[in-house]
Amino acid sequence: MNGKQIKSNKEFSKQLKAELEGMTVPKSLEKESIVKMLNENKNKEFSRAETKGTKQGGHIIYLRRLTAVAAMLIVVIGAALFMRADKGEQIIKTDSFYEGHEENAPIKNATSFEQVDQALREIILGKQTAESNIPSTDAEGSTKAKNENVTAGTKPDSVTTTRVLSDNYEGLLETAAPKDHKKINENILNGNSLLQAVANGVSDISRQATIVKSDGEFIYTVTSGNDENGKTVQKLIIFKAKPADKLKPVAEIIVSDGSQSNTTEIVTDIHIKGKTLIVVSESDTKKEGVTSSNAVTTVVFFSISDISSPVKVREHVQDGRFISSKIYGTRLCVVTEASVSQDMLKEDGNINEKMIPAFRVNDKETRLKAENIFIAVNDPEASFLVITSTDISDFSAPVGRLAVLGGGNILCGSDSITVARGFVSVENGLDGSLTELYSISVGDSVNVCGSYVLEGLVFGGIDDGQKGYIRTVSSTGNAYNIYVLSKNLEYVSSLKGVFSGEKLRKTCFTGDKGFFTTGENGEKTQIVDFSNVKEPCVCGTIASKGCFGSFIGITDTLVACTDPCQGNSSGPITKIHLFDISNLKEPVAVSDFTLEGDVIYLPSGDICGSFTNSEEKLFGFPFIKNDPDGTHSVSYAVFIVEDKTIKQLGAFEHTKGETIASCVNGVYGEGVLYTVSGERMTAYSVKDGTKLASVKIK
Amino acid sequence: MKLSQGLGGCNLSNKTTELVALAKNGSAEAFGELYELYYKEMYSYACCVTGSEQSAQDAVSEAVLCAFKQIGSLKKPSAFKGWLFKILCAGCKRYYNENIRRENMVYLDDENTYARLPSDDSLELSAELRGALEKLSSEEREIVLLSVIGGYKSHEISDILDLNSSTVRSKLKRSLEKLRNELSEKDL
Repeated sequence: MNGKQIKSNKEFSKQLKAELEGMTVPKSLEKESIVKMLNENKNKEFSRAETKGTKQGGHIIYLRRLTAVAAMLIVVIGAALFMRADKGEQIIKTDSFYEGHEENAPIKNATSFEQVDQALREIILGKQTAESNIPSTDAEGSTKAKNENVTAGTKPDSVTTTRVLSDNYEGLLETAAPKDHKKINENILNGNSLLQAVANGVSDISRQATIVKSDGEFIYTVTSGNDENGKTVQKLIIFKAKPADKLKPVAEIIVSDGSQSNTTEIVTDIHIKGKTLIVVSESDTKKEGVTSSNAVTTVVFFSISDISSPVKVREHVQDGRFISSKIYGTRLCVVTEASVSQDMLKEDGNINEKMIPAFRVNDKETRLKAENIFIAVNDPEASFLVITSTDISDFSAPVGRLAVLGGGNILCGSDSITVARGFVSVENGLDGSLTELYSISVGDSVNVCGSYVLEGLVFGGIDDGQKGYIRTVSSTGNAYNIYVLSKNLEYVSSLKGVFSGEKLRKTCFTGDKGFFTTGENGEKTQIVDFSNVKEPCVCGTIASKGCFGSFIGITDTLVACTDPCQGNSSGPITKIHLFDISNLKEPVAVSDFTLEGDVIYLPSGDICGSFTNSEEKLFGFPFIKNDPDGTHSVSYAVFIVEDKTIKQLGAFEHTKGETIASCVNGVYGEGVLYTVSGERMTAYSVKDGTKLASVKIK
Repeated sequence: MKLSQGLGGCNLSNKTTELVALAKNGSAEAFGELYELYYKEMYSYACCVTGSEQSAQDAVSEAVLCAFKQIGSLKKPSAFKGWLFKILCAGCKRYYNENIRRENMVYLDDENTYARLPSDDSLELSAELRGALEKLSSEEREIVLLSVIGGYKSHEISDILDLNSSTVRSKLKRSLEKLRNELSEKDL
């Protein structure tokens, strides 16, 4: 193999693949041997289970579960993000360092399909950027991009932006599965305040309650399982939650029935807005007429004027894999990612309209217009982020739509959508990496309303928990930068070169504070105060060794830190530490709570539900207990913080005697805890621990 | 009859979904069908990461066993390949570190640290490619191999290795260029 003669990374990868795939696989790894090994192992396990119970298997599951501690804790943080105060009028500061770069917007509006086609050819076929008539964004700085047209231009000489071939760099898209911390944000943002729907999760068992939401009166849960033939069945079940002692199912919607269809719909999100229930699902199978993507996302709107009989009123099929959905006022915003493959490019130079993302409303298909398409300038991927906005209160109103060719990470924030795309600029500093952010407003139409390019690659996502501002951290090699931008992505302030030489493990923004955990084992957590957004500062430090779990904002001045790393020979022990941060410069550890015994309190791999309720200073999470007979019970622990001390209000048992522990979600409201799994829903009075009702899910 | 034959006419995605469902019900044969789709890639990857045929065999066997036991936790059948590779990656890392320790080498787990492959002359890799791969850090090597052998996109690699997808993109680009430069210098 001669690397020099190879023109592109893509070509090089192909040659490399050919060489690496030439290896001869030994007989012991051929299918027959492996199947034999699996069957032998299965028989061995079965015999062991018969004689000794399944405790060992349970431990394997526990260990796996323990690894996703952080994932569940993110859910907790989501709730804490809303404990913040409005800081008043926003004053935008201009940083002189960025002057002169205003014209280099990272995305440009297309004027014709020819332009989109050309951009796609360049991405897919790997032509050089220089051939493009799209100028590059090259350096850190603020830009203004309000639906600008593409203008011919050349790149500035000072910086060279490297081109990345799409086949190897599919982009910065989130995975299709919804992130649970987003869901918790949405629950709260959507005003589900009477009952606090707190989590979503999956479990090891075939029956799961994957999504749980509430509108205060009813609880909506999506259960997923397999029928006797192994076909996937997904149902949405609506429970009347009040009065809690009369908890009962009132309606059931079959979302996906594998025995009836070759298409498996996976429910990715549900929303409740007034008398409309919205079910968002994704399927890998292409649907007739919607052809530009490897997957489609379907949104079904049900009228629930009669809750016992939901009526389907509209179906919206959108090209692409589901990324996120959110309610903004009366509008539903759905974001998908639709990739484009090389075979969609016509050789004769004519444009294949099927590569343009489409959506279909009640079987009527439309494709995006060229003016609704933006093209990312730097390192674009051969995929569209497709964003639609549907007026739930008036289905006859036009659907707002916009697509960005190029991909990106998405934050569906409280006011707008922010997209982040990292790219490499070889002449820009040590690491050479930049991240472009652009903001998209969702209303009657969907518009790009601002953009910003920052130094380094975004670490740990984007936060909009402080009203009116976007905060993010970027990694620049040996140090980190913390940025504060306005919601339209104008520069406000930054802390440059912080945590120099340290390894940042975790970032967490709650209200006007940020927690930044560094060190191999999260040895210390530094607190950044954003109360003056123009001058954020690194204040105190918490010795957080072992607190690699997460921070739960109980109140503005009390923060709980979970500690999943402790343990001794008698079994896992989990701790919760409470810190008083009223003096940010000198945070004080005020109390600890220890859960002892053969208990795992943070199911993993899977994200099960926890909740915080800052008004009542409550928080809770599910935990699993190993019982002496080798089975497991799953309970939900609820804690209260009183006088700077953590007290356990109760451990509410959801299931018992399971060989494989199931995952439990929780919904809390008005003194009642509802625990939900794919098998049952149970209501408890948190005050006295009484079981108010329990309903088996069929 | 092979299970896959009974599913003729279905696309790969549907087939995977069916096989995953059967495997979840305890069918080793169905799991074997799924495994057969990817085992060559798995073995190549394991060889390149662990630097040893024996370790690669062990790592693949362990990953398969672990995956079969835990397939009940796989939420999306379409994510099977990525999930399987994630398990394999963890196992390969462990074997790699064990092999390195066995050779009494000092290995610093730093992304920029030169991390050579343990020596195994039986490994079917050209000396040139082996040398070039050795010039990469272990993380860079994993990224390149997942991209080249597994055919993963950067966001998928980021999920498998728990890295930021932007980091994966930039590291993949730099690593491929490093490899190209290394191979061109040797002018093989």
